[in-house]
Amino acid sequence: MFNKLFNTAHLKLTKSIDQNISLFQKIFSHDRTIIFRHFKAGYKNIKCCLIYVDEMADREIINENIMQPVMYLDEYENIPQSKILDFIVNKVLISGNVKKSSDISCLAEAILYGDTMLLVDGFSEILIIDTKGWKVRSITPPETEKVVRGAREGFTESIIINLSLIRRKLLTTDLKFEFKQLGTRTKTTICICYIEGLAPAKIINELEKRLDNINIDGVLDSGYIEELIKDSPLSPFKTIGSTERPDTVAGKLLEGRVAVVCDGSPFVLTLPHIFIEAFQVNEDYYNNFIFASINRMLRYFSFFLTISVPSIFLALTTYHQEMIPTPLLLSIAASREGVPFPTVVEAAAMLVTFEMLREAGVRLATPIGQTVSIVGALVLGEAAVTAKFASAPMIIVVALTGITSYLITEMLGALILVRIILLLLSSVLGLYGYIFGVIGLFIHLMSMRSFGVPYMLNVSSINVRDLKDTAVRAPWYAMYFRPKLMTKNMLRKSGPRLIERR
Amino acid sequence: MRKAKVMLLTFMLLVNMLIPAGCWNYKEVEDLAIAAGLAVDKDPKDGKYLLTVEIIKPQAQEKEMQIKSTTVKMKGDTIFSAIRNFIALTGKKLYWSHAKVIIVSKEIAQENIVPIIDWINRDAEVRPDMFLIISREKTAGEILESSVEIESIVSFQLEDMLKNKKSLSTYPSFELWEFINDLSAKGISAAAATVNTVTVKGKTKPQMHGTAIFKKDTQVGWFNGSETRGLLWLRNEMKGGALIEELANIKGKQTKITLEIFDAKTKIKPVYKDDRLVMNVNINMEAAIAEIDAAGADLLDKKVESEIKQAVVEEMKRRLQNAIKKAQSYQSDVFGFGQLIQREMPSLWKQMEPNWDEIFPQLDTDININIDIRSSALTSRSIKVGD
Repeated sequence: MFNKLFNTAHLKLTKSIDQNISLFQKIFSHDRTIIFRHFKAGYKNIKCCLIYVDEMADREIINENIMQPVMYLDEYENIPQSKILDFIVNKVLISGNVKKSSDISCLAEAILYGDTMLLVDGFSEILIIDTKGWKVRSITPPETEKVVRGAREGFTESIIINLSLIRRKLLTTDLKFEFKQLGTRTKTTICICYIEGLAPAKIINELEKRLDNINIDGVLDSGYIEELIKDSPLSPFKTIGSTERPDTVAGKLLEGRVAVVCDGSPFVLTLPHIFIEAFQVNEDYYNNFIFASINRMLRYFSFFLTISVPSIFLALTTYHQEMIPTPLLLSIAASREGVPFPTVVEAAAMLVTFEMLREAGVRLATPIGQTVSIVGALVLGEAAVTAKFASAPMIIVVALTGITSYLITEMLGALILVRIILLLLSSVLGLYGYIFGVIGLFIHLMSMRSFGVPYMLNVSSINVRDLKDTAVRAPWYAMYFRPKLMTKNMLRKSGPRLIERR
Repeated sequence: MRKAKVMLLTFMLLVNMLIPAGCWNYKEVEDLAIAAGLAVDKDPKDGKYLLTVEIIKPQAQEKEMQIKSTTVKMKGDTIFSAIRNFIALTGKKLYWSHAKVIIVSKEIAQENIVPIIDWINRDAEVRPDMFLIISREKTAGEILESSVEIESIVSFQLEDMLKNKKSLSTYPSFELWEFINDLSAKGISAAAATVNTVTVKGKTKPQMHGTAIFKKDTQVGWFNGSETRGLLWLRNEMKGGALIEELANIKGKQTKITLEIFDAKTKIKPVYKDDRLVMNVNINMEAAIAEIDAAGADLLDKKVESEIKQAVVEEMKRRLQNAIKKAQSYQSDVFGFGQLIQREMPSLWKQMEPNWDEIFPQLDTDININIDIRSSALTSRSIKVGD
């Protein structure tokens, strides 16, 4: 079909309906889902034909709003033959969206996207009637981002529904949707959303430039786009955010970010994406600010723990035993007694086992997934210690590492990599190696940018204004400004006490 | 291509940096022989050092963990060579960072203690915050081999005894670095805790008591419990929590009083009085009556209170004088009077310094004690005896 569609340039529609039908029959040969419905309109028996894709188009609309009125064209016998098409458009069809077209590739695309073509004899133009009516998944709570407090609706696979979800949160004329098509074969619709006046034009231009440079035959998920346009493409850290939640997208748009909605994917991209966004959760903004700040600090602490605990434990127990308090050292030594592997092998093996369990649990059906966790957690963990394959402190270390990594799910992939690198470094150089690893990590993080915005923006700042939405979540009445550098229009709200507060 | 070469080179450099530099200090926990304490004796026959090391043996039982210790004896011409002989005996290298105490026998202390502590002061692995103990009766090795009740490891129990000394104060606790500081400083002599043994139900148990007094690098004398308190008073090391029991004469009756110290401060100042150098000792303390065996004494009575104060002050003065006299008889300035003179009257100290050994025994002290009895715990009176 790829070739055919691109070879339509030399094909021309004629005034003969039969020729036109055979033309489309040729284009859609070997495709039984395309339905050609021939019928005659009015007492003049004007030959008509409907072409649509089965189940993509809504049959009820076709039957009641297209076929029925067109077939009973009788009362309008005075209409001259040449005006029939305009008359059908203007007075007969009961449809919110009707277009006339004679571009064959455009027509073919339209019916593949669920629209219906109405061919009328004697015209080289064809009507495209909006009958999109395929089955979509209903709006359900997102699986990946559950909340205790907050909206429960999540994006679906349909771009129009997704855009309506965003639109519903932001009833402003400044909210702009720009459509594009990506994928030479999939022709996936994508949409760039932003709030005019908040999102910097530079970032939108840059985004459009990058999107236009994409040359790929298929875009099945927003992940394709993310990988194709992100900064630092080799880094394991995300420089483009993604979320399944309309409220999160609305929040990010209000901060001056740009969202990219991709048809067929419930994950909407937001950009620029900086480091601290992994620690900001939508629920932070709905809960009491003290509670939210505590949670946020827990996340920062977990980030430190999840990359460091195995390597620090390894460095201390194999190089710096003098730094462990005596009772703890004795207890570690006692439980290491009889374990055949060096600590580094033990740690690496347990970490890999944990990641295997995670990967096994993710894709399995829920009941089997639970079985896997029980087998993994109880049988493997307990048995490994009893059988002296691993020491009990190592199980604790791995469990702590695993639990803490789930506080920052967005970075999971990067965390695993960083953790293993730090582990290897500290197995060779002890704490010295660990510190070098951390320095390297920070050099990497500090050197990254996302659409021109420094990736570590505000992380190292101790400016009160910057801290209001990084280390803690300040109460809403204290947040006057949008994040720096994200937008020129910094003022979030105006108030008489603004000067004092700042 | 060029980029790939550069990257490969960088990678190889990094790997090489890691591999030759890495792992030099690598040691697994379970391969360590963790030393808990060290005892140093001298073999009377050949004059070699006889070291006893207490090693911790952590053992994981079914569910619970047991920590046991064992002692190993080594011999050598120097401390370090004796310690290295440990490998010949057990195949493991001793790990010293968690050692808590070093016990030195009386014989070595009376000869010269410096050769023993030099290695500890020098080696990076050994911590200078180990406690130094002088074994007074038995050999040092026997102390480590004795049995203890609460802890399963003798060295740890000895450490506990020294760490919690402040409520008892009949023995001091000097960490090795303090001892070395006092040893090398001018105008102060070093002191160390001493350990004896008691036999309970046929088992020998260590008991801390008193102080070993050093002059320069040799041990010259002993302080008993009450003299040790004098030492701690004069070194301003009596802290809140300590109990002092004194005999007092109240209404003509010998009465035992126990005071609990809340806060104490000792200030010593050298002054010239009638052309003589006098050490002016001022002790201020806040205390409460913890126990009194005078039946029916009304402690709210100002007269009774001042009687008690008077009696306690007299008694304390007597004891402090005793301790000072004893130190003077050893010619050992463990109180650091010399340092005080150096600080307060530097020019005088310059004249005195060469003859300090002769001047110190002649030094006069003037002791003033000020007690503030804050309370008498829960009752104001002693128990009245009725019919």
